[in-house]
Amino acid sequence: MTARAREHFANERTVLAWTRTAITFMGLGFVVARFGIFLRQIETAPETGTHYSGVIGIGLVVAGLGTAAISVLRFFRARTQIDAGQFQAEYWPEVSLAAMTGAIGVALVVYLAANG
Amino acid sequence: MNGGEQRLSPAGRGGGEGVRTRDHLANTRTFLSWSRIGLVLIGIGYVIDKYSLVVNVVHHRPVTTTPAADRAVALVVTLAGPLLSGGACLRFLLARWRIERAEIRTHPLVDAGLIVGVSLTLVAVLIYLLRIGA
Repeated sequence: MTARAREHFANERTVLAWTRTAITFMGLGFVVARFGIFLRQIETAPETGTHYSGVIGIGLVVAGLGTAAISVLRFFRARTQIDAGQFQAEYWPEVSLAAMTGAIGVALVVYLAANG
Repeated sequence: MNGGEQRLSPAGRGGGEGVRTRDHLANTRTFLSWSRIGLVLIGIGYVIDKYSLVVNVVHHRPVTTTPAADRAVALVVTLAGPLLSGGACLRFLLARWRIERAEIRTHPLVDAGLIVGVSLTLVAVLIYLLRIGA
């Protein structure tokens, strides 16, 4: 196996890791959004508070879609760079993902702390 | 030697451009693994918060708010998610910087911090499980 082939396989493993992360986002979003519907259905007392689970769930699914889009973009850019022998270690995809996770996590914490 | 820090030729720890590329891609995959753990913790925290409501429905009891103790554990576990994600991002950027400098000395402090953080969060989950009698 040539060194170039190993780089391409490593790039493929990386895009698969991105895809798993996107699926995790969407799975979590599905659970949170569906739970929001369930909470609205069982709601019998006003003290259960306002339910923003649906909004946060949709936000998680959108973040998953964004992650998938970033992964595809990054994969093809890296593929071109590997073929050219000039791989650029970009960091904006990782920082974007961390920002998305941080924003949604903090939103969920605020929502739970406010009323749940 | 530079204070115990071992540096090789600029590209790929002396192994060339291919090694450098694979190092960066492996660094990204490691970051993504940490991020997934953070997302799982967010999910666990959310489930802990809502679980008591489901139990009330199942036992035909009035649906009220989440008990304060459960809420506290849920908040700790949920907050651990974004914190872990931020820590993983810091670890990623440090590792990226080291790869570019062809520095092979490891700095496990951030990794150790992340592992300790996850472990403490899991202890909180364990306390919750013991408390509800699982």
